[in-house]
Amino acid sequence: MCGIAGFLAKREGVPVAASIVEMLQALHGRGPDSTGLSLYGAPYEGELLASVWAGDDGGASARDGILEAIDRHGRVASVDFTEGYFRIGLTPEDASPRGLRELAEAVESANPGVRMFSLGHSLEVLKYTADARTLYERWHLGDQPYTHAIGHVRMATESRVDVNHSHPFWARPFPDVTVVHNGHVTNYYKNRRIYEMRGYTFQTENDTEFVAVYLAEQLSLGLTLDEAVRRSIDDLDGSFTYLVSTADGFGVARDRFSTKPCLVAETDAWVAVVSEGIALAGAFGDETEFHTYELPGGEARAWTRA
Amino acid sequence: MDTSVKSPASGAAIVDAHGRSTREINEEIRALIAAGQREIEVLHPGSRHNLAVGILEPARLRFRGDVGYFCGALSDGLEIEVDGNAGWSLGADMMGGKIVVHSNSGSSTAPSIRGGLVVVEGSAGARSAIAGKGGVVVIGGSTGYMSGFMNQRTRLVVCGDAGEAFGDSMYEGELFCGGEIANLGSDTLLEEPTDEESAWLAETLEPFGLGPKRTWRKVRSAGKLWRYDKKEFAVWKEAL
Repeated sequence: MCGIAGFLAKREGVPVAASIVEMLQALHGRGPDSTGLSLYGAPYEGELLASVWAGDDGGASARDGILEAIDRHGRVASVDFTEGYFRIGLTPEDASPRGLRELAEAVESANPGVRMFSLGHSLEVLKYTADARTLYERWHLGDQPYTHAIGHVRMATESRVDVNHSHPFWARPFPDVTVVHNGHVTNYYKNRRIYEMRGYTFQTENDTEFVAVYLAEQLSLGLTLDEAVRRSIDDLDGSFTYLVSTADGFGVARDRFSTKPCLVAETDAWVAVVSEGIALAGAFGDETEFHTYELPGGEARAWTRA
Repeated sequence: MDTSVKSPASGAAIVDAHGRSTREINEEIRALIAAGQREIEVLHPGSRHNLAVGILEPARLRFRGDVGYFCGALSDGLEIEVDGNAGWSLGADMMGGKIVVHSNSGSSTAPSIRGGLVVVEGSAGARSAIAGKGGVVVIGGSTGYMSGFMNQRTRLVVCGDAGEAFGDSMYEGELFCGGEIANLGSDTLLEEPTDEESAWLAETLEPFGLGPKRTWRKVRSAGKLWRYDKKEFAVWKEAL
């Protein structure tokens, strides 16, 4: 089943983390296995921000190995450790996709189970086998001035229930691009093999990871977010409603059969894309007035911050 | 929704759904109807699924906000009004009664209904009124692909545009579209409505202030798939 949500503030002062967390909490019944968020826009030191999961058995003990690995590929500007996640501000020596891939691989070889879940100029990924409010409280998300976010509640159907296989998926090695997805992509294996032959590495057996890499590559080739999500409707097979986010905004696409739900709501202050209306009621109550509509099958849209 | 119309109809019982489970809400609605209450208003429905399903006694129910999936499904004789949007499968399999949604509805609106009237004043998602076995479904705006699929006896009226494969593999009945039809489904014919049908359309839509985006056109089954011999491959091929 799974539930997805995206939220973009059109102006300052709109509470991004609190809004998307309440949306995901309302969608908990669609995905009780795990919850994940891509959050954009909180300040940090250095050029890039990395979200590094210390591993199921890991913890602060992984710290030295991770920092040494980063030191070999650049400079660590700041480190914070909260509930299994290192939030690391850093400046890489080589900021090309190849350099960032090598950096991520070096960090992951530091300790068994260590995973770099994201790397970006404004992105941090948090995912956990818990509900959305637990994430909000454990990582004090309400304190941060995020600009937009996408999130996911997972009901696992095709790969393991653990933090590593939870959404969102980062489009390694492209900074800032992440995807959350409701559905199954059926031409995933074939495409993944083609992408592996071209040098991309995949960290999980999850189809959504391919969607992220595919979209990020399209963006790196010069497509706008809007063009990339529209093209994906022809390039991806299967059932999907997915959200893809970059540092500037997010896009949504829905396959032509549209068996995975998708509601869009927009006001002067924000844009929200959710699986079900309960998510909007959860975040904003049901006495607020805004226009909602179902994104038609075979259509895609993108919103970027002005 | 317009929050200025929160005062209930005189004599209506109020059910406040805030913070309560769907089961508790439906049990209270059922208890009120069993006690003879015929006017009920539900506040804060919060897009919950399965509201007012399986109720077989007549009553007027007004939801002051969005409802989720399957609202009014498997019901008979209810008059439901929704001041907001409805989710998927609105009024699924209803036997009779009336549902009016003042905004949009999701996919699979009014599937397989046997009687009654379902009106969505805004637009609906894909697959509206599939496998209809009676009754009338009205979409004030547009609807997505394969609406009217395998229709048997429902009349579907789409005031705006209809998506791809409109009326695909329908057996009988009539579909009307007042806007653009993206394309017709297998084994269908496009016709002008008769005078009688035009009068029926005007009469049916008048209470809701709805009308065609442009001009009415009617879609019905061409009948080629009703019966065929497995040797008649050409019929298959042509109809599909």
